[in-house]
Amino acid sequence: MIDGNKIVIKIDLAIYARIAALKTCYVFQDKCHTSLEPESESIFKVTLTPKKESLSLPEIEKEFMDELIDQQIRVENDKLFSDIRKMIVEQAFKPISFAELKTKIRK
Amino acid sequence: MMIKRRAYTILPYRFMRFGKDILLVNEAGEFIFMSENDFVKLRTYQLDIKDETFLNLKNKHIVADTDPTLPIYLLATKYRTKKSYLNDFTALHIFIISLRCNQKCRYCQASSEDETRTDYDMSIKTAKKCVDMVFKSPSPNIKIEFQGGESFLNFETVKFVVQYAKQLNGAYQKNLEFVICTNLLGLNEEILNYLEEHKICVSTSLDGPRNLHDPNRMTRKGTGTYDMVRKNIQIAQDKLGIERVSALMVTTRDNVDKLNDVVAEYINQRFHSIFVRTIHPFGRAVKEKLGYDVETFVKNYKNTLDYIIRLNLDGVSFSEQYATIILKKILTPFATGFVDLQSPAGTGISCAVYGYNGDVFVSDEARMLSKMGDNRFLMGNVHKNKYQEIFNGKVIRETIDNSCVENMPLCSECAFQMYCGADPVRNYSVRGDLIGHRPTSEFHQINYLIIRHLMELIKQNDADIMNIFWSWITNRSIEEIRRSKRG
Repeated sequence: MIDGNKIVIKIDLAIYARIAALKTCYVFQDKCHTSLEPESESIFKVTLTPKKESLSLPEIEKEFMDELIDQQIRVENDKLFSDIRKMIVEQAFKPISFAELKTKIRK
Repeated sequence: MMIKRRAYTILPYRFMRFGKDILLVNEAGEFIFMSENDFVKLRTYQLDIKDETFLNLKNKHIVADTDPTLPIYLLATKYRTKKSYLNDFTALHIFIISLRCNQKCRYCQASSEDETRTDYDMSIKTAKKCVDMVFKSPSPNIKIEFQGGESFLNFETVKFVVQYAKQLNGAYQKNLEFVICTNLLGLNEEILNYLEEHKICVSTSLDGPRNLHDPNRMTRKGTGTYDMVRKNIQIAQDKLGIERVSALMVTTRDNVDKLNDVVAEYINQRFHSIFVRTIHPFGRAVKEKLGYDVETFVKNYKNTLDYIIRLNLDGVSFSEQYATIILKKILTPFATGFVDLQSPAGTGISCAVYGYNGDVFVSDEARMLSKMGDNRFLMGNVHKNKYQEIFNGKVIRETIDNSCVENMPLCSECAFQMYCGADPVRNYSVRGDLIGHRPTSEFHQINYLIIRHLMELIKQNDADIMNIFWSWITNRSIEEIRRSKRG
C-alpha cells in the first residue's frame, strides 16, 4: 500500500517466514530506508521510504513482493539443502585414509 | 492413503531471475537457464524424468532419479577443483622493495616517498628474512612480485632476492616465478639484460594515450611520463618478448568515459589484453576525489567490453582480463587463482605482502591502511615472528573467517556465489567491519552487475561471441576455437 511517500507492506507470517521478510528488507537497503514492526502475532509490517524521489513507488512495491517470494523459496531451499551442502563440502576436503587409498588402488 | 513416491531428489542449487527465465547454479558453479514454468514443476516434483529439461538438470546434478550418493560425490569432486586455490597456501608473495618513487601519481595508493629517502628501501637483511619466510609456504607454486614505490630504484635488493630465492629453490624445487612492477622510467641495458637472463616478467602502468596518461602519471617534477613509458615498453617487449611485458591501467573519473581510447592505446602498444580496473579507495585517490559512481563505471565497462568484442569480430585478437577471469569461473570447472574474487578471500592465504621493513600484511590494501595508521591487517614482522605466528595467527584467521561468501548476508543465497568473492580489507576501510554491507557496497554492486552482464551474453548463446569468450579463456585464436569445434 502506498501511503504518501512511503510504501507500507503487511507480511502474513503464515505464508512467509520472518527470515525471508528480513532478508528482503536487507536487499532493499540500497534503495530504501526500512522500518519493521510486528502488527500482530501473524502480521509483520514493513515501511519503505525511498532514498531518492525519482524512484517509482509502485515499481518498488512490486519488486519487493517478487523478492519476498524468492527469499521464501530460498528459506525453504536452505532447509532442504543445508545437510547435503555440508556433506558436499565435508567430502570435498576429506583426507583420504591409507585404507581407502589401498582399496582405490586395488580397484 | 497411499503416498506417491517422488520420482526424483532435488539437490542443492541457488537461483536468480533473468527476465522470464530462471538461472539455476549448482554447488560447483555449473548452471542452467529454465523457464519459470519448468522451475515451478521442478520444485513441485512435476517434471517428467524423460523430459529434456529433467535430463539437463540431471546432467548438472540438480536432480537425481536414482541414489543421490554418486552425484553428491561428483559435486564434492567438482567443488574441490573449484576451490583448488586453497592448496596454494600461499602462492603470491609481494615484496615492497622500496617506498621511494620517481613519480607522483594522482591516485597513488602506495603513498610513495621521495627518491632520496633510501631509508625506505628494503635492506638485504630484511629481504633475506622475507625470502626465508616465502619458502616456508607449503605451496608448490611461488611467485615473487616486486612492487614499490618504484622497484628499479632498489634494484640491488631485487637482484639479491632473485639470486637467494633461486639458491633456496635448489632444495625446495618449487615452480618459482618473478614479476617486477615498474613504471619503466629507470630502465637501462643492465636492468634489461638481468630481467632477460632471469626470465623476470614486467608489469608496468599505462593509463591510455598521452592526454589520459600524463595527467595521472607524472614525475615528481610534474612532467608527463607517456613518451618515456611508451618508448621503454617497446624496448622491453623487443628484448623480453611481448608476452613477458604487461600493463595495468586505473579507471578514474577522467578516463571512465574514454575507455575505448585506452583500449586503442593498448592495441597500439602491442598488448593483447587490458584489465579495466576500478580505482581503490586508498591513499591519494581519496584526497584527489578520482572516483565515480557504480552506474557510471558499469555502463562504460559494458560499452568497452562491447567494443572489444567488436574488435575481435573484426579479427583483432584482444581480451578484457576481468571478464576473462569471470568467464573462466562460469564456463570451466577450474579455479582462476585471482585473489580478489575468492571465497575465502585470498588475503594471506593466496597472497601476502612484505613491507620494506619486514612487516607482513594480508594484502597491499592492508599495507595502505597501515600507512594511514591502522595496523588491523598486519600479520607480523619477519624479524620478530615465526612463520606459524604470521600465517596461522589471529589476524589471518579472523580475516578468513569473515570472508567466506558462503555465510555472508546476501552472498549466501546468491546464484553468483561460486563466481564471486569477498574483500574484507575493503569492507573494513569503507564500513569499519570485515563483513561489510552488501546492498551499499560498490565492490558487491560492480561484481554483481558485471557477472550478470556476462551471464546475459552467455544466455544469448551467440556463436561468434561464445567463440570469442572461449578464445579469451583458453588463450587461443578464434580460428583455433572454430577449428576445434568443427573437429
